[in-house]
Amino acid sequence: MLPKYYEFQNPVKINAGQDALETIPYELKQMNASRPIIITDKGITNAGLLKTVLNAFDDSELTIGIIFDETPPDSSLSTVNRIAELYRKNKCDSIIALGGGSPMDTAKGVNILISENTDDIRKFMGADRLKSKMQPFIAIPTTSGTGSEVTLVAVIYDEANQVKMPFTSARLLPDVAILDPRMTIGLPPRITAATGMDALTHAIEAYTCLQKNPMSDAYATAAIKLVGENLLKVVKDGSNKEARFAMANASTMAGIAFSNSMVGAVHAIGHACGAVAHIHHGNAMAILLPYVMEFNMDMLGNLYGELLLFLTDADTYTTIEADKRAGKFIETIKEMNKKLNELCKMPIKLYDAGLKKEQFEQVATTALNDGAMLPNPKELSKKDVLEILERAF
Amino acid sequence: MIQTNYRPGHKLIQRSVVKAGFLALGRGIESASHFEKSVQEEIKNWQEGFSFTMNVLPFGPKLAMRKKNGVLKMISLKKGETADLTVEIKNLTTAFRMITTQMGAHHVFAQNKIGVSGNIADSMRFIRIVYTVEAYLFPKILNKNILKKSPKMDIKKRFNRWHIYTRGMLFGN
Ligand SMILES: [Fe+2]
Repeated sequence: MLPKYYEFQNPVKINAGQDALETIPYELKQMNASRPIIITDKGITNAGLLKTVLNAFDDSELTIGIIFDETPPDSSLSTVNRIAELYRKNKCDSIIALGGGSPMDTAKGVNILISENTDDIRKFMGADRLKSKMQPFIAIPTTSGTGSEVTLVAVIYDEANQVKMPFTSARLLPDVAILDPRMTIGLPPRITAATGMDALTHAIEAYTCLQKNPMSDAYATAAIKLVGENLLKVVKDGSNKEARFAMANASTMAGIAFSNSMVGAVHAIGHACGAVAHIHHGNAMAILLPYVMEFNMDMLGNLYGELLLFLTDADTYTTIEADKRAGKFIETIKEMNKKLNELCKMPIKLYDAGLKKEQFEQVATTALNDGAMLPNPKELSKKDVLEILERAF
Repeated sequence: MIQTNYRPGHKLIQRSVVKAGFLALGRGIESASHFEKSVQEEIKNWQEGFSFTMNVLPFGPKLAMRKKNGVLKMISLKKGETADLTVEIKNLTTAFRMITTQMGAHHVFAQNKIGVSGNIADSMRFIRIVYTVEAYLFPKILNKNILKKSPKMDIKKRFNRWHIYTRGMLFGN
């Protein structure tokens, strides 16, 4: 069924595959930029990825104004302010984000400060508050999960007031996303597994929540197919370049899907688990996904059933009766989790991920106040969330 | 035909319906904040003086409310004053569909026809308050469109509904 109305936007150019990094100097030139800043973190430098990126600039006419690798694991207000100051002082004219979610969010924050020519980012908190032309912005993801390279949201932590500030605007979307297989090849199995399950959750929630539409459906189903075919492969053998590249594509496609369709209750509860018990986002997604789906089953069963075709294959799909497909879909995800747990010890219960029973109450209250609850088609009460936590514990 | 400086007209009916609807919703919220437990639970999280506003772009109608003495009161914001939470409906027709129960708040969000400035948790609280009050204002048959789940109307709730329809609409308490 088509929605009565929907909006869909993805203006990000995607340069993907072999030698994708080498296209950056040309892309910057196209945008009249010649002094980029590279925003990344220590882990990326230590893994040698920064060096690979820098090599891609050899024999170009560009000067890299600043290389900043001190981004903390959670993008913070003070870091964003500090980088913006460096950016201005060194007369940079474009932004390159290299890393996972944190460098991406940090770069988006810097872009706000510079483009809106302000010192106080808080003025731009909320939806659609940005009005200025943005700085040229290229994103190079080094994990296959967040999809930040194609999402219009940034979350920045205000340490002084201890709040997470959300910013959403199409202007935050990068101009170019670079998917280069070299960037994810060294990702440890556990992070590969967790981020892969995050991508899968993005696609499933995009396909089943209130904002679903035919455009995002196309991206979501294609992403699910790639995850189904490649996630276990790549966790078993991280050096499998083809599977790595497939996961990078899956993650970006799932990102496009959920940036337009939003996510649902898995994310709402997962965000709360992160806020209360510091559970890794991808781990929380993997653990909660099957249990939230069981909760949603009576309303979303037919959609879950449709997705079985993409997660498994046509043979499996056709041999299973129509009304059993949704159940099989959830079961398949549970099996995937189990295999990932065997392969790399990815936790599949909240207890193993570090949640304590005493924290249930707080997780439930926090989850109900999360924006991702809204697009979930089935209403969740506090009691519902507590029951889901209990089953996933 | 070549025409220059065409000035668009006005949607007078939609505007007056939304205006009346906002007034009813505002009175309903005022009233519910006096006796409805779930609304009081939500308001507890807001400091005294907390304000929110729901505006239709570009020039209204507007509904603004503030927490005073532990309950919610309709107010009008001064020029240039911003509320702690601002919810903006992007066009009049969307507000009209909302007020006439053709669309629920979650649908309006899903269609990206609403913008929020402020804290996400506060906007979730606001939406829950609107849901609760709408459940009182409209009969079940209409509620089905706008609420994900219609609440059971027990005796107490029926009494509350009657209260909102009578005292609430007139005096807001
Ligand atoms: Fe996610």
